[in-house]
Amino acid sequence: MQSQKTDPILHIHDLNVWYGKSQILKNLTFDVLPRQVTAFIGPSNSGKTTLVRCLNRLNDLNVNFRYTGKILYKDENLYAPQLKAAKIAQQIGMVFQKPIPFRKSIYENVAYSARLRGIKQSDQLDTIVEESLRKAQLWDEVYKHLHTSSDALSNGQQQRLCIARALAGDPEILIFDEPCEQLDAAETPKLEAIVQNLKSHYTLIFVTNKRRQAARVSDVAGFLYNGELVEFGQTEQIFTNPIDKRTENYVTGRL
Amino acid sequence: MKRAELIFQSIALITLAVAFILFWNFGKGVSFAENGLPSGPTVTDSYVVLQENLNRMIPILLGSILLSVAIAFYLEEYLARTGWKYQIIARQIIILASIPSLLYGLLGLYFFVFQSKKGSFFIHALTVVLLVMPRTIQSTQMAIRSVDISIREAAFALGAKRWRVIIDHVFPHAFSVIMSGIFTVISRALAIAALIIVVYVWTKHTLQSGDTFYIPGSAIVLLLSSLLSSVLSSFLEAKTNWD
Repeated sequence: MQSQKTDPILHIHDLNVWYGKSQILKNLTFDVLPRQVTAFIGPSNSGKTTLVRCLNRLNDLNVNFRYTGKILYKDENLYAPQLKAAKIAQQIGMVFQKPIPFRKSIYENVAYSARLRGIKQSDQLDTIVEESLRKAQLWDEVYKHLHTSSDALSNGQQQRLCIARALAGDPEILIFDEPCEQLDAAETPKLEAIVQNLKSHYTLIFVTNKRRQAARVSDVAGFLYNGELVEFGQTEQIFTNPIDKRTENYVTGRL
Repeated sequence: MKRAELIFQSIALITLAVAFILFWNFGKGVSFAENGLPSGPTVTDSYVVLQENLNRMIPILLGSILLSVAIAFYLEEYLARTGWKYQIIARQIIILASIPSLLYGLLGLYFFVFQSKKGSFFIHALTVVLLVMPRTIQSTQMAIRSVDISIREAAFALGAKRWRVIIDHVFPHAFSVIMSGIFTVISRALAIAALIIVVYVWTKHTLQSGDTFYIPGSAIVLLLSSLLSSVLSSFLEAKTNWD
């Protein structure tokens, strides 16, 4: 009940997205509430990644990208000309499917995004790096060799480093775009635990094509199918008592 | 693998250094005539001309390489690949780069040796620029394109501005490929310069009394036909590249 009182941090109304001539998203309308995990599930090619890339303006890099509708971030148009895409990307962070550490040391990787928002003093950077690594549950594993290359880390550690790097940028919203897709099974519960811990401070958007994972981590879930938001609501309701036939088929594994 | 490469490279470097020292110290005395070649030009002559020209060429060379790298980054990072600006500039570069460098050399020879009295600086610079820039731009473009898009996106997603992404990520990743491209181009330019110098020295000695030339005429015919073929090839490349 409490969630209904708070204002949505993201308000999407009637969003249509095209890449060139093909329409990827059709008439999407939903709200993202702060301090919650909003999950998007759906089979591949249903537009999940396109949707989250709209939200941090990463689609600006694609010249064929075109959209209609409204995306409001804290009651302000996300695509307003006076808002710079870099500023938006800093406030709405993203963790990608594949871990992409920069070719720098572990410390420099995390400090990079802190430096981007203008922090220069080394003691301040040190605290940010430690805090971010702790939040990403990587500190205990790497604090002895912070200044060695990030290449030596395992795949899962690299992904957690990417989370720490995104957190060091002090975002409001953090988007996870299928973060467990390329990790081994042992890493997945760690990442889900991180997501649960981050929920108290950040608004999280979680994209996955694993149904059970969405059921475990999210408070609110949306089912995307062929670019349509078939159903959007409380996770429990989506998974136990879906309204739409297609959602039911997907959730029960028949689609 | 690394070790073998290192050994090979050091052998190549040593050989080059030895060849250079030999040329510097003993080249002055040798003449073609002694080796049974006709007329009088000596290596000394080419050596003097080479030195004169290198002094002029190096600043132009460095300047045009820096400019080419900047142009390539502008093209690849700031212009949309489907936009008309990119299409026009990139097409011209493909055409210019596909002309054999020998033809630029002959053109330069014709203008700055035979036309003007004492090789004007402008024509000289233009020849070097034509020789170096299109190919450097092309190889740098390839190097930039080879940088994985995901690295760029990761940096953009952290809120880095475009120029920061270029300086912090794209340039360091592409650096080695850019450098190898630049060195290939420089070696090619130097080879052409050497060829021209030999031709220049040779003609200076043989042309004492108003002989006629047919080099420029045939060069222009060659140039035109190669221009035609390169336009054709760039047209075909553009056709196949489009999906």
